[in-house]
Amino acid sequence: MKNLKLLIILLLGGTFLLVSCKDDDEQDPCSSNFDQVALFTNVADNIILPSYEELNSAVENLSTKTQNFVATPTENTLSELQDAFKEAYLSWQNAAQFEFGPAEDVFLRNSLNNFPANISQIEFNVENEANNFDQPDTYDQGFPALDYLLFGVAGSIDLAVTLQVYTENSNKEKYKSYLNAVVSNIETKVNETNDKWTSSYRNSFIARTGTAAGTSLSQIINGWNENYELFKRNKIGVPSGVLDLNFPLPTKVEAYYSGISSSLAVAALNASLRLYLGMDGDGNNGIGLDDFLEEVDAEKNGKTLDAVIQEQFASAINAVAALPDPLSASIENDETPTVLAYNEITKQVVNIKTDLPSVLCISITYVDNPSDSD
Amino acid sequence: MKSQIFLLFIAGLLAFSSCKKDDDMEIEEPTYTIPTTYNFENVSYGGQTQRIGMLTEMKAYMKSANTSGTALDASKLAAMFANDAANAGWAATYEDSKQIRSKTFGPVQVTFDDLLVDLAAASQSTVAGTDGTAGVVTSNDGAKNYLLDDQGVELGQVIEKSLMGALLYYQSAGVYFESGKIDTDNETVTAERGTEMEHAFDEAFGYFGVPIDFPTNTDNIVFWGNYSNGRDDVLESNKTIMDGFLKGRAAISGKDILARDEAIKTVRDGWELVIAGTALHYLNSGLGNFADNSRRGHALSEAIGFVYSLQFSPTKTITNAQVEELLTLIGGSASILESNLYNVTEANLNSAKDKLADWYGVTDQKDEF
Repeated sequence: MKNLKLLIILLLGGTFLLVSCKDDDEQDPCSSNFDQVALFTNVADNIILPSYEELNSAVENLSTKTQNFVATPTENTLSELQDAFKEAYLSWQNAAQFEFGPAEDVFLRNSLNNFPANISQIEFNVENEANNFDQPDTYDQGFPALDYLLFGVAGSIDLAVTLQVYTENSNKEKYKSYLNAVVSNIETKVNETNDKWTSSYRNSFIARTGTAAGTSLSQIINGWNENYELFKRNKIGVPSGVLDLNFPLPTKVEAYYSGISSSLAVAALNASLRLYLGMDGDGNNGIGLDDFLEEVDAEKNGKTLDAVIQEQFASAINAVAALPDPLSASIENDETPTVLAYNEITKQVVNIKTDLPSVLCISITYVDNPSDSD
Repeated sequence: MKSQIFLLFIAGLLAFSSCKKDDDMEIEEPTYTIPTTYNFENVSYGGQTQRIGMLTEMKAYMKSANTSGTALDASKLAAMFANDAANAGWAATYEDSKQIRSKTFGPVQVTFDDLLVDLAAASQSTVAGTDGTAGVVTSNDGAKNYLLDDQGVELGQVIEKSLMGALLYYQSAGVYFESGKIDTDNETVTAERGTEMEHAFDEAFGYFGVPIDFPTNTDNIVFWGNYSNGRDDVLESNKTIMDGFLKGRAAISGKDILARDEAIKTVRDGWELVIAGTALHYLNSGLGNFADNSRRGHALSEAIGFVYSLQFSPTKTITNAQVEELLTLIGGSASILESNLYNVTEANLNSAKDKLADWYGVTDQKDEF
């Protein structure tokens, strides 16, 4: 066993040597025969477009249920609206990893899911009827704002108590108006993204082959990684406390008020895995990054890199799925399982952010974790 | 495992050397001198000096409540904490953008808001303090007066010492030495600021509270500088920490990142040991004055603040759970908002002392602090 490890290490070292000493006339590892167009076609037609389509229809339903509720606020219409919110928030997890092109144009991710919500800002906006969302960087809009407005606005998750804000509160009309504005902002941006993808962007996406920044492969891999790191930090890392000297911050989970954080996190991680595999929502496994890795015989630690990545996805998904909702209560009770989940999620980063892009000759171009200034 | 890393290293070296062309292989040995004082070019840490100034004024105001009949104003305390100059009544002038609260470790900022309110409330008392009643408590020999709350805690000490951890130590060890701040540009020099990396390091130094020729000169040492000096006879902490700062800054200017990181570790470890040693010092003081409500309350309130401070470095030796264990042994609660120093027992204090000394490897010196 020990000898085997030694051999592997020597081989690795040897590979290093080879790569680093190649002459210009040797084969360029970047120019593999892999059919990029087939990959892009599968990713676009079976993953991206259906994700946006599903999100779009969930958001349309959210809009309808909002109008019903605002017209007739009852426990029944509120409950239906809450369900529509959860469904839309879940489907957002599939669409969140494509923050390039049409989504980037409308700052979709920030507009829809900056969390934790800034409650005092939201209350200020309601009071002052500040219903414009022209700034994508604020924390008073999107799903986190709805999470608060539909589940936390009365300080209780109780349906009847929440309803009173929209039926008896002296600011009830203002709350309704803000609720409407938040939903219609989500709707506008999702519509626009979906329309652009279906009308024109899909074709140009499929045609943009190569490995340079701006090519579709670069966009897929960068978008996928950036979303994974945001997932790691915001959904799990921050609330677990690992990023803040191990002080758990349970109120900073995604969907704090509705308490569906863990479900959203599992959905996000599954979406990440499916994008890697090229798998559609029904489990049909098409051409994905895994096939690309196979094509170039990428290896790591004596296994295929693909196997390493898939095993790590499995470990991470298991660890996250083991966190019961509401995640905030789980963390408050004992943050250890969430920290362990964070560690499993973290182990994947080197595989997908360093190893995979380097094998596929893609540069990571996004800047993560912007630190605040002095 | 070690041998494997070594092999990888060899392989890497081979890869490296086999590719070199004869003309482009010049190993640059970092050459720079380490000065004896923090007299580098373009050093600036004015923001740190200002925050230390604000904390000093706040400390003096809090201490004024140790004189019986001096009531503190809660809104003034809050204004000092957040640099609301209109209501803080500062003696000195501070820039609007500089404040203590915003630089305090985020998750505990509200803890200090609450402690300040509690302190102001305790200071309203016009009677002598006893178990169950806040007020000034005089030491058995009549020499010392401390404002203790109804549970025997000198909140002013808890606040000051805990803030030294959650603000000063945290900003150095947990912010400016961290990747987000220190791993930044080290090429472009701005006048009176240096490179961004130099500047980050200078800001970390600024929170230590010593003059540039420390420890030769110990005039005007404040907060951590003062406590390092207090522990120096046991820990030789002054030279250790100051040398770390000097080496680190010289290494940055000399583009020697490995040496920089070693120096950061030296400073963090040395600083943390000063905190642990100072906590032990005040545990000893509390034990030595066990029958004196005033002196015991004062010393143990300091101990609580120093123990609490141990949490604010990313490379801390003990866990937050261990800190809570110590706080519970000393004050009966894991929360510094709920300590009770009238119910403390010698057995628990000795247990806290033994654990702390053990965790920091200073069991042999535990009585010397």
